[in-house]
Amino acid sequence: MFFAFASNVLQLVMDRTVAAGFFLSDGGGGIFGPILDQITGYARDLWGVFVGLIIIAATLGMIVAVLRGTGGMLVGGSKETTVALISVVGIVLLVVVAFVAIPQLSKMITDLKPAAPF
Amino acid sequence: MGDTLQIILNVLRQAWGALTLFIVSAAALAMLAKVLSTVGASSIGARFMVYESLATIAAVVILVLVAFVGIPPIVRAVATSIPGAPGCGPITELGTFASGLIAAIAGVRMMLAVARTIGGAAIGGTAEVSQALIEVVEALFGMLLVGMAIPLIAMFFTGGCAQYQLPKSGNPFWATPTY
Repeated sequence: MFFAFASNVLQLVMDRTVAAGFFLSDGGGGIFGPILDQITGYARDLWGVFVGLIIIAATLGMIVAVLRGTGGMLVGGSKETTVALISVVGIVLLVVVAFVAIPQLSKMITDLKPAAPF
Repeated sequence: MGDTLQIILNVLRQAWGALTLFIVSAAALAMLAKVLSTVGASSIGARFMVYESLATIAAVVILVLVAFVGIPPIVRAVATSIPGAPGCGPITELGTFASGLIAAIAGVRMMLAVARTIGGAAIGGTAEVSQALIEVVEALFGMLLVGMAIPLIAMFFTGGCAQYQLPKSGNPFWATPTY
């Protein structure tokens, strides 16, 4: 075979790389397993941070909206009160989307994950 | 060459798997990050609308659907359309090797383009569907061009086999065919 030497050398290098990768990882991501484990860990941490921040921001947002609506009522502005109520409903809707719809969408995406087509 | 091709394809398959997992995590984070930015803006009094957040979520879902449902059939189509073994001798081996690799590299590159866009959206950027699709088409078209060029170059520089020869019309670089 004309390219036999290249094939053997490349195969040796790749075999060692793949073997090293499988020893280091949990077997889920192949040679990219260690990097993938780190990225997944960071993503989990980031998810927790986002959830906490959403709770804080939603609480503050609703308080601000209630304050605005109350201030509007105080000076007789019905439009301000209406806008404040709509804001509260919007924030609640966003929180519902974040905590109910997004996990379901993520599960759907995970189920759609395709195998390599080559 | 066949064993080497299988090993490289294995590595590319693992890269594909890692990219799909990354896309799943980045998409979830991108959707949550957009909701957080909208809720955060409303907490300081800005009047952001709910639909802005939902539009970004829809863009991320569309991108993921394109990546997970659209790209695999495209890669299969590319793999079947690339000529496998032009010429003869070592050129045949190289052609088989290249045709196996081209589809795999195109698939990983297309998935990488989508992963980059969704990763950008996960850290607060915008999910630009058009940019990702442009990169996908670039990868596809580039790999198809390469797939067409391989047999032509093989025939041009080596002479190839008699049944694959191009017309010799005065070309000084045309190699003498060896039978």
